[in-house]
Amino acid sequence: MLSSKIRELEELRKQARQLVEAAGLDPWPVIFGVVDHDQLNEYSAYDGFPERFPHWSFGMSYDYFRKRSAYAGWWTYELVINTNPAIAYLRESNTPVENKGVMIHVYAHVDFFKNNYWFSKTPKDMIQVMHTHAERIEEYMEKYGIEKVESFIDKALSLQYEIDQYAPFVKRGLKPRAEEEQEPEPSRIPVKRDYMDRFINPPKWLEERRAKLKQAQERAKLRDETELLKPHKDILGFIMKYGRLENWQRDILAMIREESLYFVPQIQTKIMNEGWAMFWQSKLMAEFARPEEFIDHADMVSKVLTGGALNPYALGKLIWEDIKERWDKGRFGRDWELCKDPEKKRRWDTKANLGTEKIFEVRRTYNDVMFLSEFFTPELFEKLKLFAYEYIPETGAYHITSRSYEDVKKKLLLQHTNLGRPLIKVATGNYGNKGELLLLHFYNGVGLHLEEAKEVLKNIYAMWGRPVNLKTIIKRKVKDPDPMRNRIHPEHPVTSVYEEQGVLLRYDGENLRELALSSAEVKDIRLDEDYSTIPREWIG
Amino acid sequence: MAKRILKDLERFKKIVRGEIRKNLKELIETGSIVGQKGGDIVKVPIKAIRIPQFRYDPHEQGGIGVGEGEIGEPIRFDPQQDGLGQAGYGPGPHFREVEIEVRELAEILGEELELPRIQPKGHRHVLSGDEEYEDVSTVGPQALLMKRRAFRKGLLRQLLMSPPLAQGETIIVTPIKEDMRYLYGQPSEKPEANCVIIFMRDASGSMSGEKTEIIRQENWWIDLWLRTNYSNVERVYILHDYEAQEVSEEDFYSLSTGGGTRISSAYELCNRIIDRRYNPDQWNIYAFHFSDGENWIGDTENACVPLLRDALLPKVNLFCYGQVTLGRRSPGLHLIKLKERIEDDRLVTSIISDREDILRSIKDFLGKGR
Repeated sequence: MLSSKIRELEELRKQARQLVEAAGLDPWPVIFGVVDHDQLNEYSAYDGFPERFPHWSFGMSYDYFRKRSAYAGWWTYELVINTNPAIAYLRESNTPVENKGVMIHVYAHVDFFKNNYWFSKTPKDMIQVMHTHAERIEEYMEKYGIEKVESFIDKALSLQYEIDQYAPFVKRGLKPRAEEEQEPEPSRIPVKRDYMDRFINPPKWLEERRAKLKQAQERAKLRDETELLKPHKDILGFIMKYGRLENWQRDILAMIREESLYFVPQIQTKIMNEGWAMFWQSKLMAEFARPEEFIDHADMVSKVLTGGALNPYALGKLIWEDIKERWDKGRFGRDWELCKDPEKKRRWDTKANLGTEKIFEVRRTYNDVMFLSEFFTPELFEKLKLFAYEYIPETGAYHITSRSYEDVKKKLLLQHTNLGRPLIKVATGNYGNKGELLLLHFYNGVGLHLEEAKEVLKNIYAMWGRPVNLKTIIKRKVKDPDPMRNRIHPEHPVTSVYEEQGVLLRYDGENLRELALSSAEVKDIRLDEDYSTIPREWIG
Repeated sequence: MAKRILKDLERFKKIVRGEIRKNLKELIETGSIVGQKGGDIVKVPIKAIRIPQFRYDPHEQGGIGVGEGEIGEPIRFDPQQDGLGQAGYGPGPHFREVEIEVRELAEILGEELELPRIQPKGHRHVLSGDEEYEDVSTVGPQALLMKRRAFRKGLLRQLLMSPPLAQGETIIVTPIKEDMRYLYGQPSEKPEANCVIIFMRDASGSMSGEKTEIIRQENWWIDLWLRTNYSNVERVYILHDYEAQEVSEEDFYSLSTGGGTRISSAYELCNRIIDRRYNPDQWNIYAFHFSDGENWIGDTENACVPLLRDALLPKVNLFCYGQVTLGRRSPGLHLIKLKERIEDDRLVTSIISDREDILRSIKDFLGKGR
C-alpha cells in the first residue's frame, strides 16, 4: 500500500520534471517529502527547515499555523527550501492531480532559486547551517541559562533585517584592513618551567583575553575616528563588531545575520518568485489539459480582481503573463512606446515571438523592485481596478485616495524598496565623542512606527552598552481642518495640516528622550521623496 | 522524543500566559476581549509578545487595494488583516494580537482566580459523538460532501480527458465517484454534561449605562468559565422591572425600562423556566441576578426569600446575586436582607461598585467550585 503510493508519487514526479524541463526550466534536483498536516505546520513555522535554533517566536508561528488550519481551514499550499538538492513537502491528503500541480509549482521555485542572480550567493547547504546554529545556541543555553540566551536573542532579532542586503555582492565596509588582522597578543604570566605554562596560562584563558584585547583595540580605534566616512547600513554587523558583548553574544549576532542574509533574496523576489511558480503551474497544467480553460487559472484571476487588499503574488503571475504576451506580439521598443493610438496598440502584433526568451532573461537578473518598475505598465494597470488608500486620522479609517497609475505604482514600490522597510543607517559609534551610537533614519515622507522604534532603541542599548541615538522625522499637527469644508465636500474627508519635525530619540539606559533637530540636521536625513497620495484639497 | 517545535510552543505559551496573567485585571476592566462572539478563538491585544523592529507606521504607509469604490470612500477591508499586501517582513507571520483558544483563556482565568474545577452534579453522563473536521477524504457520508470541490474535480477531470473544446463551446460537468470530496474527522467520545446559565437583570432606568456594561463584562467571563467546564451550555436571559420576561441576549444588554422594580417577578419566571425546560436531574443550573439592590417594599422578605429557599436553591448548582452600586448611590437593601435570612452554600452574593471589582466578584461567584 505504502510503496504503491510512493511509486505513484515517483511517477508523478518524473512526469512533472519532464514537463518543466521540456518547457525550458532548469531546476536543481528536488527531494519531495510527504507529511501530515501537523508536520506541515511545524515546517512552516521553521520557514521550511526541519530544525531551527530554540526560540519562542517559532512556537508563536507554529501556534498561528495550527490555529489557522484547525479553525479557518487555511493551509500552507506548498513549502520548498532553497538548497541543493531542494527540499519540498507535499500534504499527505493531496490528490494525484493536486500533487502534480504542486510539483510543477515547486520545480518552478527551484528553477528560480538556481538561476536568479539574487540567490547566487546563498549557501546551498543551509539545512546544515541551520542545524549547526541550533546546536551552538543550545550549547550556550546550557552554559549560560535558557532565559539569559533567549532574552538576548529577543534583542538581537530586533535588528534581524537591519543588515546590508547587498553585502554578499560587493566588498565594502566592515572587512578588516590588513594590519588589523594581526591578532593582538595578551601578556602571559611568566613561568619558571615550560610544562607549567599550559596550567598557568591555559589556552582557553589566553583565547578569552585575546578576544577582549582585540575588542578594546577596536573600540579605541573607533573613538579615534569621530565619524565613519559614510553611514553604514549593516547595523547588526556594526554592533556585532563594536558592541560591548561577550563572545557568545557576538556569535549569536553572527548566526542571526547569516540567516537573514540567506532569507533576504526571498524577500527581494517574492512577487517574481511566487508569480513565476504560479505562471508555470497554470501554464503547464493547462497545456497538459488544454489551453485557456484551466480552472485554477480562472480562479486565480478572479481572486486578484475581487475587491480587497492586493494579492502581490497573483499580481506577479499577471505581470509574467503580460511580459510573455508583449514580447510575443512585439509590444516593446521605440515604435511601441511612441505609438499613441490606443486602437492600434490594442491590435499590435508583430509576431515577434520573443516572449519565452524574454521571461527567462528577466528571471535571471531582476528582483521585485526592478520587476515592478519596469513591467508594471500603465496598460497592465488599466486592466486591474487598483487604487491607493491612505489613513485619515480625522475619520479613523483608510480612504481611497487615488486611482492614478503613478500613485498606485509609487505605493507598490514603497512596499518593496529596501525590503519594504525604512532605511536606517549607523552614522557613528562615537557620537559626541562619548562612544554613543548614532543611527540615521533617511526619511522618505513615511514615518517610523514610533512606539516600536523606541523599543528597538532599548534593545540596541542592551547590546551596545552605551546610549543610543536615532535621528528621524515625525509629523506634527499644526492646524485642524476647517469644519466648514466638511459640509461643502461631504464626499471626501478633510484632514489636518501637518508639518515635518526633526527629532533625536535618545535612550541612555534609563530614560527615553526626544530632542528637536536643527534644520541643517533635518536636511541631512530628508530624502527627496514623497509617497503620500492624499489629494491636496483634502488638507486643511 | 518530544518534537523541537513543541518546546518552542511551550516557551511561547508560557510567555503568553504570563502576559495575560499580568494584564488580566486590565483586560477585564477595559473590556477589550468582551464582545467577541462565539468561536473557539479569542483575540487578546497584548503588545509585549512581539519582537519590536524598525518599520513604517502603517497609518502613514497606506497601501493598495483592488475593486470598486469612489475616491474618498472608506475601504471595506482591514489592511492589517489581509496581511498579504504588507510586504517587507521576513518569513513567518507577524501579529498585533495574540490569538488564544477559549479553553486556554479559561484556564488562565481559573488559575489566576484559583477557581476550583467544577464538579458537575451526579448526573448521568452522555457520550456524545462530536466530530472535528480536520481534513478532506475521498469517501464519506452525503451530508459531508463538499460540493464545490467535487465540481472542480469533475471539471478538471473532464478537461483533462476530453478533446479540446471549440471556442464558445460549453462543458457540462458531471462529477463521478472519484471526484467526490468529503469533510473528514475523528469522532470523539466524551462525557457530556449539560449546563444552563440563567442571566437575570433589573432593567429599570437606574440600571442603564455603566452598570449594564459592568454586567456585560462580568457575564462574558462567567460564561467563558462555565462553557469550558461543560460540553453543552444553554443560556436564558431574563429582564425585569415590575414584571419579568425572557429576552434575547442582545435585548438583555440593550433594553431599559422606566417602571419600578419587583425582583420576585424574575425569580418566579426563572423558577417556571427551570420547571418547564431544565430538569435538575439532567441539568447543572446556574442563575445570576444583577440589580442595584432596590426593590419593591416587602418584596425581598415576603416573596424573594421564600422563592429562593423553597423553590430555587434546591434545584440549582449556584444562585449568584450581584449588587451593582456605582459610586455614591446608597446601596439598596436586597443583598443585606438575603444574607440575613438565607444561609445556604448555593447562594452567593457580591457587591460590585466599579469595574475594578469585576475580577473579585467573579471569584466570589465561581470560587465555590459548584
